[in-house]
Formats: sequence, C-alpha cells, structure tokens
Amino acid sequence: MGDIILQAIDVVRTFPVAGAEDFVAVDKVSLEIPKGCLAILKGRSGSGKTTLLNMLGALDLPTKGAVFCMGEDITMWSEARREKLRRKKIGFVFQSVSLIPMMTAYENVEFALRMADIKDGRAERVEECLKMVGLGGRMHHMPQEMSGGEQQRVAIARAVAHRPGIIFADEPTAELDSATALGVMKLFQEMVEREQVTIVMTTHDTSLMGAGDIVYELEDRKLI
Amino acid sequence: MFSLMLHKLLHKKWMVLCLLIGNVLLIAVAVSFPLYRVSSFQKMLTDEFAQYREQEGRWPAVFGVALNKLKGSSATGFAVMEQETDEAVEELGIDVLERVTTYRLSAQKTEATVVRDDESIKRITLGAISDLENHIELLYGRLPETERDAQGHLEVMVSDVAMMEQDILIEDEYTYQLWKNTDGSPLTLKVVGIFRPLDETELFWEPVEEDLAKQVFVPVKAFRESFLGEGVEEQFNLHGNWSYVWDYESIQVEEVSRLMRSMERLGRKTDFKDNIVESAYQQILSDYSGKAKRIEATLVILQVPVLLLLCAFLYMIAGQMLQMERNEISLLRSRGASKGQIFGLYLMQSVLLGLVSLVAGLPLGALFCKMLGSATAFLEFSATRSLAVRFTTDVILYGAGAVLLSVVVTTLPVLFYSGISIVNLKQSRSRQKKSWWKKCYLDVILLAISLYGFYSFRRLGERMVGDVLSGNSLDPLLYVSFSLFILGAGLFCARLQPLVLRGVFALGKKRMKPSTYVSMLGTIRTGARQEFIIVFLILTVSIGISNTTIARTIVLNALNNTRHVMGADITLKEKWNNNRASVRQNPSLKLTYTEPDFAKYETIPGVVTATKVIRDTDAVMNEGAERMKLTLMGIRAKGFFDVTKMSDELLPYSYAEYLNVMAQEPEAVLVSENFMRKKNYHLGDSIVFENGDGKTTVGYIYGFFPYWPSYEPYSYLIGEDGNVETVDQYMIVANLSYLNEKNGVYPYEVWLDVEDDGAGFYQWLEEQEQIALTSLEDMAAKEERIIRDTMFQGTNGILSMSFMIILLLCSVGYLIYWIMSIRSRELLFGVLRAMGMRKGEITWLLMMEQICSGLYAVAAGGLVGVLASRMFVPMIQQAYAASEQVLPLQLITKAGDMIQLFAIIGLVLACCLLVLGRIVTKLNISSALKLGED
Repeated sequence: MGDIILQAIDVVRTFPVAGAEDFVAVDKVSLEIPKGCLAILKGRSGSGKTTLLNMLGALDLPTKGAVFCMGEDITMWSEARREKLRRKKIGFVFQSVSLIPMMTAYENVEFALRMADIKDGRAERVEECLKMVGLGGRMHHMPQEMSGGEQQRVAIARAVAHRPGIIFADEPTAELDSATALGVMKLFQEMVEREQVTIVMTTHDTSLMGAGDIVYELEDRKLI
Repeated sequence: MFSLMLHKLLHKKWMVLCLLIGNVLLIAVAVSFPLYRVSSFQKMLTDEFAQYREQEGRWPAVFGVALNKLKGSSATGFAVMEQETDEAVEELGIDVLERVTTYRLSAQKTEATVVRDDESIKRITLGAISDLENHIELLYGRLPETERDAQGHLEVMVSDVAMMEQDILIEDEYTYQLWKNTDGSPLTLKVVGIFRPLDETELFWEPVEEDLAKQVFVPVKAFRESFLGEGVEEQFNLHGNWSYVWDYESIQVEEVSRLMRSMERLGRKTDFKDNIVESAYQQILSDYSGKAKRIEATLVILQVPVLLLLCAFLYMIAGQMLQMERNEISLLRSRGASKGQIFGLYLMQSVLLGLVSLVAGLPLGALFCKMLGSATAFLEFSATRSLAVRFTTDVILYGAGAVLLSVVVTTLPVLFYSGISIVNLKQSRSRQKKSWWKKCYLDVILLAISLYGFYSFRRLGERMVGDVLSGNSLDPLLYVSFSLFILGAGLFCARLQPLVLRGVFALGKKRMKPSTYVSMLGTIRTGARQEFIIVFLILTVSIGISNTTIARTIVLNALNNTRHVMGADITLKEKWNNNRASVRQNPSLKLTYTEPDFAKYETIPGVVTATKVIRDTDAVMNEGAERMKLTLMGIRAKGFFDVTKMSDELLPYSYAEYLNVMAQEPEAVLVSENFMRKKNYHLGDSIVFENGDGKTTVGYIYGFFPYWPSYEPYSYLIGEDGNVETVDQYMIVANLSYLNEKNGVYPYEVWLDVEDDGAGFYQWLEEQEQIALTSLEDMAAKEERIIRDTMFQGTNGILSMSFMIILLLCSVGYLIYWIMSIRSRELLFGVLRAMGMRKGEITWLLMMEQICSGLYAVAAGGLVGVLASRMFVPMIQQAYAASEQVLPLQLITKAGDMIQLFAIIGLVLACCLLVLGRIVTKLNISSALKLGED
C-alpha cells in the first residue's frame, strides 16, 4: 500500500436538538485510508457512517477533530476551497437517484467534467467511462428509462469521469439486488485498478465485505 | 369524512389560501358588476333628470292626465276619470310629491259690466286649481267665496300677471255670452281678489305655471258645483287635468323597465289613450334605457376575460392540489373508497371554500364597486367621487352564481383523478406528456379565429360606426376576437419558448457555465410544467399593455376631440339685437345688428385672450346657379392663433403659417380640403359666398386645410335601412374684419383662453346682470362630463380592476409555482452542491430559469400586447366615439403606464427571487441528500 490519502483524527460530529442535549452522531473517530484502495465503512443504519462519510468528503464539517485529505487539513479550509476540492478531486455516488433527472446518461457524465472545468477530450472521456461501466449502448437514455442498477452505474461513471483522487459512495448498493450489487463492487475493484482511484464506501451489507481492501466497522458512533 | 377534509385543508394551508384568494376575487368581481351597475346607473339616471332640470328649468317628472270634454259629448265623466287616474298612479308606484287637479271652462267671450278702454268684449277662461288658496298671497281684496254672492255672481280671483296682461281689475264683473248657468240664467263672474304665488319655486306651480296668466280662478268646490256632475258636464266645453309631480330621485333603476312597461300599458287603455300628457320623463327614461343597455353590454364584455382567467387560476390551483394529493387519493381508492366518495369529499371541500369566500367576497365586491366608481383613468382613482353601494337581489344572484362556478371549476379536475389507483399512478408519473393544447394546436386555431375576426371587422369599418350610432353596444365578437388574439398569441409564444431556448442552448452549450447549462437544459426538458405560468405571465403583460392602451386611447381621444370640436376653452355668444322686425315691415331698410361691448372680455381676470369668431352655419357658396351649403368662419388671425390649439402634424403646413397668411392678406380665405376636391379649387382662385343674411362676398383662396379648430369634416346620416352615409361638411375661413367691412357687423362668438378652468370668468359672469348669453360652452365642464361618463368610467374602472386582479393572480401563481418547483428539486440541488457547485451558482441557476421563463414571458407579453393594441384598439375605440371622432385616431400609451406596469411586474419577479433565494440559502446539502435516502 502507498501513502495515506485520507486521515481522520478524533472526529466528533454533534447535531443540536431543540430542548435536549446535543445528539452525537460520530464520536471521536480516527482512521487512515491509503491511496489506491477500496475502503469500506461498515455499520448498521444509524451507526453514523453516512455522517462520517460526509465529513471525509468535505460535505460537512466535524464539530471537533480534523480531516486530512491529501495531506491538508480540510476542516480549516474555506467553503469555496472545499467546493473546489469536491469539483476537481472528489467524486460522489449516492444511495439512490443522484443522477440529474433531465439529463441523459451521457450528459450526466459530461456534467461532472463541466463541473471540474475540463474542456478537452470531453466526449472521448465520457464514452470511455460509460463503456467502462458497461453502458456504452445506452448513453443517450434518460435516467428514468433505466433500471436502478444501470442508474447507479451511470452515477459511478460520473463520479470517476473527471479523474478524482477519491470517490465517496454512500450505500451505493442499498437499493440493488445482490447480483447487481456484486456487479457494482466488481466495478469498484476494477476502477481502483485501472484509474488508480481511492474509493471510500459505506454499506450495511456484510456479504460485500470481502471486496474491500480495508474495512472499518462503526458501531454506536465509534469505530471498533 | 368532514374531519378528514378539514385535516387535509389545514395540511395544505398555502394551497388553500390560494384557492381562497381566487374564490374571493371571483366572487368580488362577479358581485361588483351588479353593484356598480345599480349605483352608476342610478347616478346616471338622476344626473339626466337633474341635467334636464338645470337646462330647461322645469321639473322633469310630472305624470299628467288631461280630459277634454266638449258640449254634448258622452265621453267618460270627470269623476270617473279622476278615480281611474288615482288608481293608475297607485299602479305606477311613483312617489308623488304634489298632486294638482285643475279644471277649466273653455275660453269664451264675456261682456264687462264696467267698460274700460273701449274694450267691452274679453275672452275669459274660467279655471280652478286644487289647493290654490294655500300657495298664494293676496295682494288686494279677498279670497273668493265658494258660494255665489247675492246677485248670483261666481266670485273669482286673478294673478297679478293676469291683472296686467288681461287688464282685469278687482270688482270687475263679466257675463259670458255663450255659457249659461244650468238653470238658464246668465253666467256671471266677479273679481274679488288679486294674488301672486307665495313661492314660485314650489313644485305646486310646475303643472299650472302657464295657467296663471291666462285664467281667472274660482274655488274648486264652486267649479264642481257649477259645472261638473252628471247631466251638468254635458252642457259645457270642459277641460280637466290631474297632475302628479313625482320624485325622480326616488326612482330606483331596477324599477325603470317596470315603470316604462306600466306606462305603456296605461297608454293603451281606452280612457288614457290620448289623454296622458307628454312630459320630459318619458324621453329621459327611454334614452336612459337605451344607453344603459349599451353600457351594460360593453361592461359585461370587458369583464369576461378576467372572469375566465380567474376560473383558469382556480382550475390550476385545484389541479395542483390534487396533484399533491394523488398519493392519498390512490391510497383511498386502493382501500376501497368509491369514485363517488372521493368526488363527494372534494365537492364538500369546494362548497365549504366557496361559502367561506362569499363572506369575504361581498365586502370586497363593494370595495371594487367603489373603486370602479372613482376611476378617472387607467389605474387612477379619485377618492372624491364615490358611489352609493346598494345590495340588490341581483347581487345575491351573481354571488351565488360565482360560488357555483367556483365549485364547478374546482371540483372538475377531480373527475380526472378520482379514478386513479396506486398502480396507474406509478405508471403515469414516469411519462412526460405534451400539453393537450399543443397537441390540438389550440393556439393556432385561436389565432386564426381572431385574425378572421380582425379582418372581417376591418372590412366592416363604416358599418360599425352605424351600429354605434344606432345605439348598439360594442360588438361582443370584436372584443372576443381581441381576447382570443391575446390568448392565442400568448399560447403561441409559450409554444415557441422551448424552441427559442433550444436554439440558444445549441449555440452556446459548449461554453456554458455548469449552472447555466443545468438551468437551460432543465427548462428545455421540463418545459411543460412551466407552460401554465408562462402563459399566465404573457397574458398579464399583454392584457396590461392593451388595457392601458384602450383606457388611455378612448378617454384621451375623446378629450382631444372635444377640445378640437369646441375650438377654445370657453366659447359663448351674447344676445345680439337687430332691426329684423323693422326690416320686415319696411324692406327698404338695411338689416343691422347692434354689437355688444367686446372689450369687457379682455379685462376679465383669468382670461388670457379673448377673440371674436364668426361661425355662420347658414352660409352658402354661390357660383351662378350652383349653391352649396357651408360653414363660414370669420377670424382675427392673431387672437385666433392665441386662443386655439392645433397640432401642426395635422396640417400640411404649420398652423402659424396659415394664420400668418390670413393676417397679411385681408381678402384671403382658407378652404377645407373636401371642398377643394369637390370643386377642384386651386390656390389663387376666387370664391363667392353668401353669409346667413344673404350678403355676398368675394375672397381669394390662399390655402387648404384638412382639419381646423371646431371644424367637423363630415357628419353621419343613418338611412332607414340602417346604412350609414357620410355627408361632407364644407368650411371656409375668412378674415372677420374683411367680412365686416363688406357686410357690416355680423353676430360673432367670443372665444376665450382661460386659466384655472375659467374660475375667474365664472365669477365675473355671476356679477354681470346686463349680459344675456344665447350660448355658453365650456371645455373644462365637457372634459369633466367625459371622464364622469358611466361608459368611460366603467371601462376605465373595469380595465384597471381586471389588470390588478390578473397581476395579483400572476404573482401568487408565479410564487407558488416556483416554491413548489424548488421544493421538488431539493434533492437535485443537494447533488449539485455535493458535486461542488457553489451557492452563488445555484442562485444564478435559479435566476437563469427565471430569465428563461419569466423574462421571456414578459418580453413576449409585451410584444403581444403592443400588437394586439395596434390591431384592435382603433376598432374598439370606434365603439366609444365613432361619430364624434374628427381627428385621426391616436393610439395612446403613456410611458408612465408602461413604467408602472413593468415596475410592478419587476417587483413581483424580484419578490419571487427573494423568496427563492431564502429557500436556497437555507438549503442544507446533507439534509437535502438525506431526502433521497428515505
């Protein structure tokens, strides 16, 4: 394994609750993820894994603690700088409908390139990514014309299109049947290999653990 | 069921609020019409009566029945007639202020016992007026007794006027030559008193005013005893008159048609057939009914578009609400609720909302009515003029009708939804449908119909003027074509919008920023959802523009035109004395006029300029055998120029140039262009014309004019077949001094240019006792009458009201649409934010969407509005001023109105943006994304 690409140190996230004590969603979690691996955050629903993922992915800020991404503490960054990081260096895959509904598969993928301000070779890259996820033949379909698995594969193609360093995937297989879910995991493994990308995903499905290079388990808001 | 409904309503309070707003407005608009009709027509009717009274100095409402019974006639007797008349009045239901009965014995020769001035024979009319003694004061003598005196004389009294005019004095005795008492003895009269009216302004004198100077009066009782009764009446020529002075202010407009029908029925009865006395109220009432019908029809037509839009709004909101409740409906259906039950639920909801709205709608309607009544121009109201609001049964009917309409419109969409079950709901959600109106090309069809209407009305042209002249209202089809045009063009623009966007998108998509890209692509792909709001916005702007144009155009053209036809601020003519009577007896004398002092006008405070203007409508052009009627105007160039206003654009040369020529050349005349064409005149030709007294003058033509102050180039004649003919009117203008030099002084008008609407002049006029005016016309008063005119005021009011309502609907609709659209896309924004899009970019995205739909709609609406105004307003204007329009029509759009219009719309859009901006800044990425994880 190579360098550490992502590191969390004593990360705490609390949410204010009206008329009660703050709710602690993530409690003093520390972890390290090396570059170019498929890391899995495992845990039951409510264990805090999505909250943790959001903080790692610069979507949310920890109440306490620090997150180092590619060597820099992103919790000290401005909102704008974190947005730029998300646009250029990070890709996201969400549990369900995360495609932009009025765009075709092709346009969805191309949009990630637009966001990352990549102008050259867009068409080739989009086609390459869609072929990689096995949807070369359905490039110009609208999301609602595709199955759940197909949609998720487009989302993955979109997440990888602008060649990010890290892809965060929040329960990407939750709505898929087990065969399709396995397919997605296989795709992730391939991509780690082919694109040298780091993938951090959450899941509650224990049957998928085997696919990961590193597995962290969250229980009761803590890493075990 | 009821609690389920209440729960449902509370849950969707914003939608319910929208429904309530729509309902309340619908009801208010519906009831404001009968409210306004009643109060404005009441005012119009009272004004017409009052105007008659002011102009004629007579009470306009006197119902009178007269009976003439000649000697030996077997016609209905006086007693019967009196009773029948009383019954008739009862039936008419008029509010009688004064009842006056008069009797008269036909004038016959009498011999005076004491002869004065060699005149022994006098024709005397013996009359009796009921209750006379209570309305007079005695100047000499005493009141006549009801019994005959010892010598058998009937005691009489006369008015002071009769005393002078007929030379009848107190103590005079007269014996009728023909009339005898029933016992055959001579009928003799003795004058015992001279009287004069106690108060001449009393209504009592209205029916008998003319009798005072011509008759001698016995007490009614004495008259009855001597001449009336069966067997007695037949021996004399008698006349009876029963007059009822009634209160025209108490007549309600709702009663007018019933009153007119009763009058007509009465007139057909044998006893009343020829006996009802003509009175002004008959003409006033029938004029009023005609006018009222015309105005009513016009106002109804003007209101239709806003009512339709209100219905469309309600339908949209109700549909939107159902859309939100589709889940619940399909759930209910799946659990076994019948279609009927669901329909019943919604029906109950609509009825409840309708009734609640009625409570608020009625007072708002009253407010609208007041607003209509105080309208002075488009979106201008003057608080000083308010109408009395009266609730009639009509109001209740219209209110109930509006509630029914709203119930129908809001429950109608349920029919489409109540059949949905959860299964076909899921199926239908994934499909994007093309709007029904696009599929059936409704926009193209509407445009085609309206253009057909436009061209056929344009071809009609003169025919329409005829319709208006013969009292018909604005042809409904014309206004319908106009409305259809706006609707059709609006829809057409909405159809074009995605195409236009697609074009822009295709051109720029390579270089677009991600936010612009998303918003444009979104607008293009999900366009159908926005159609309604775009159409609404286009309609708001276009109706706003055409409404202001209509309102401004009809009023300002009417004002300009009146100003032009009048010529000056105030025109007046004094009474001129002449020696016509002497000339008639001695034809060798020359007809001369005595000129009243003119200099006094020049010194009145507040009068800027005064000038003499001869306007001789009896003049003729005289060339050998050929004579043509024309109007001869005599002017003093400098004064005329100062007093009149004339736009140079209407003339081939500047107005000043025309008058300069007149000032330099005494013999110069100007000739109207139609006369030039008729006679093929050229500059420099001589022209011989006669003035109204037949005196001939020769002038030389120095110019031709198409328009001239006070000159109306043609008049309209309606043939019996209803065809309208235009008749050319000719005019020549000469120098007043030249005319006077040739023909002697001739009666002229005085034209004044005044300050402050002539306040100074009127004050001066009040102080003058010697001055006798034969005519006085005042521009300010005419302008005031035009603005106050029910037709103009109602039009202004309704157009303003419609516009404000449409604007309100549009703002509410726009805001609702966008809030819902953002709410439904929170997930999308979450994804975009996760992908690194900044908040500012999301705001820009929303702004772009507004630009794509809002700005496009405003621009398209502006275009449609201007186009519709250009095309239809000239025709609509004809309905208001066809015959009076002399000047070429000017389409008037005030920049102020447009700025106001666009400022309001801009404000609405800005408010929307503000609200949307707040929603966006509050948007939390992670919680937005969570939405997708449920």
